[in-house]
Amino acid sequence: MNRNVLVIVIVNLLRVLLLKTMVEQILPARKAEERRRQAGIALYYLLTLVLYGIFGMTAFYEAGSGLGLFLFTFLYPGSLIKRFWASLVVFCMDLASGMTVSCGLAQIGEDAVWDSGMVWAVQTLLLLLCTVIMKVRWKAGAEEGSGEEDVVLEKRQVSILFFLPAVSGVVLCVLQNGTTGGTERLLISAAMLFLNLCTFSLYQTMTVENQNIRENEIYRQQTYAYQNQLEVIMESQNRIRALKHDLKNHILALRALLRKQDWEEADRYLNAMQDFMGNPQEYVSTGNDQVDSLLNDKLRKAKNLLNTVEVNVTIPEKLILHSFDLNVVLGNLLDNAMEAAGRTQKKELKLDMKLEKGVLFLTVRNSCQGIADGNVRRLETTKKDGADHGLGLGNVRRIVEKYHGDMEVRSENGYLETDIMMYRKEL
Amino acid sequence: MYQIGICDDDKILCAELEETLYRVAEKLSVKVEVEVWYSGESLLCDLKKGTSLDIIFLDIELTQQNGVAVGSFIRNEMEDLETHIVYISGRESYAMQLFCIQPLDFLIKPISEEKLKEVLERSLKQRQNENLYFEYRKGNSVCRIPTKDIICLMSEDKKIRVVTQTGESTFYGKLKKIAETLPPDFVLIHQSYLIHQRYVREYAYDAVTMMDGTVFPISKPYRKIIRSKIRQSQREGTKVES
Repeated sequence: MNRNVLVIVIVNLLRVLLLKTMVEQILPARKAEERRRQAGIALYYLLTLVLYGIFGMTAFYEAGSGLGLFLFTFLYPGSLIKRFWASLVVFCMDLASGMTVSCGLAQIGEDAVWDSGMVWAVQTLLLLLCTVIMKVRWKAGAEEGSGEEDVVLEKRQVSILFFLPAVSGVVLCVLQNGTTGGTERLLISAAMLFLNLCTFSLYQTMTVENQNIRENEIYRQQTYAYQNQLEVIMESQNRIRALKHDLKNHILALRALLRKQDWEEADRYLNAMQDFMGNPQEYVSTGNDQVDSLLNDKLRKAKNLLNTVEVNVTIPEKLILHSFDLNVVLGNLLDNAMEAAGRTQKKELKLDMKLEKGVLFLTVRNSCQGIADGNVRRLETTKKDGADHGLGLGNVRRIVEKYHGDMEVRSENGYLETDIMMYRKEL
Repeated sequence: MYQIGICDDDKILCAELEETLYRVAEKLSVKVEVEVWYSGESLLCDLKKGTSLDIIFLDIELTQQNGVAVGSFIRNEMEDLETHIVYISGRESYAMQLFCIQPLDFLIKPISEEKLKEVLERSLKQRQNENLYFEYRKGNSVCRIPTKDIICLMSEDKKIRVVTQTGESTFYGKLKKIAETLPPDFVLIHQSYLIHQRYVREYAYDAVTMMDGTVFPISKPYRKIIRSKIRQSQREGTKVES
């Protein structure tokens, strides 16, 4: 008997660690808080041992360990529903594997009495197998996506993902307390285990898919911006060509004015020529194609929507930036600013962008309303579909952090100012 | 007397700029002397002869010796980091080399009086901060060096090595205490390196490259403070603008 207890104590440690690994497959962990999680899992380990010691393999034990697992997930970042779902999937897998093994062993040697330690050991082996499968799948998935954490899934997707383990949990509970025969019991619990493994896999596929959809959306926007830029450039070209065409006439006219010594009229004439040459669609021409196209596209929209749009961009022509990330930052900031400014009376927007000593500075200032003065930690979205509105300030912040930059959002006298710095070398 | 230079091949623009500068200076009540060059070569020739300027408005698209060449001559050959260079251009796009020259600003033609006033104010303000001195004890004597000349200070055991444009010197002291007495553009980036932001060529999150090419690592605990320092100094540079 003593030997059996020792086996359970050891095997349970392994089992609990496997459960932690599984949880981490779903809930991404930040490195910094590993200590706390280790302490948490140690507590959970003791909890399961105590529960097992008191109740044995009963519903009380299962309920207690399930609840413990759910509490453990609070050490991870993520929404409540996601944590609940993660603990449910892991719990169901644990339960299903336990039942599968106990039924299976009972089937193999009906005469032999199996030590509970043996059951635990085999169950842990099965869990190990599942974890390995999960890990292999996850790796394949993570390589496809860019490894972004915490992807927002659609409500519909979440509910599907949620019901699968929930239903399997119910089935397992009924099964455990029911009188179903040995073989069916084994089959059903094995099927439930498989189902949960599939749920997990489905979750991974969905995450990667959503990531792809999001990236495609950004690329689509970028293509659209490039198209706009092409039109802008062609328009500029046309204007210059037209002016060149009429240059002879202009020179004649100017010469006549000069001969008459009509300085004012000559000045007016020159101004008219300059106005004609300038392309009103071309707000920014830094020579940096990516920045130009994005800004010209966004600013065209901004000019239609707002009263004052001021832009100051001083960056080198051939500044090599990771255009994808820069587009996300610039695009989001301008979109947000435009929207907020559009709702105010003043309708003002100002963008400053410059490179100094290898640091890219970006400041967007817009008129806004309803935000208290001071530093803003977190901006709540005003859009109704929170899940669909994932590409917000959070993403900007994440990209800024990725490049070791810094971001500050300040609000004063009805203006919101977002201030960003990023190191060029990293971009 | 604030020495201002203008170098542009467009004579009309030069005359206009000169006139506006005198007007702006009068408004700011500073005495200035504006000198004009119509080509990069003539400017370089005079600079070599010893003409010294506080601020030069330099056209990027000069015919022979263009603005980039003149700028890099001032910074690299003459090792003059003090003259403020303001680039002027008809276009909005700038070559990467221009950013290495660390201009005070870029102005696009036509240049408004407002903008000119703002740039001049900034130049004057930066110049003002340069008349501070750093004092330290070496043996029995007290040494005094202008803070603007200090490139960096390094601590080695109990000694501090101070590196200036002209040479090096060592004395006993504590870097953290020194950092408190120096102006805010000195930044502690490591427990044994205190650098002058003025002499930084390029920042990265984990290192700074100085003008002479020396690279100092930024140690982890200091990175956050450095970020806010960089932003702060940038904001102060543009504050006059708004």
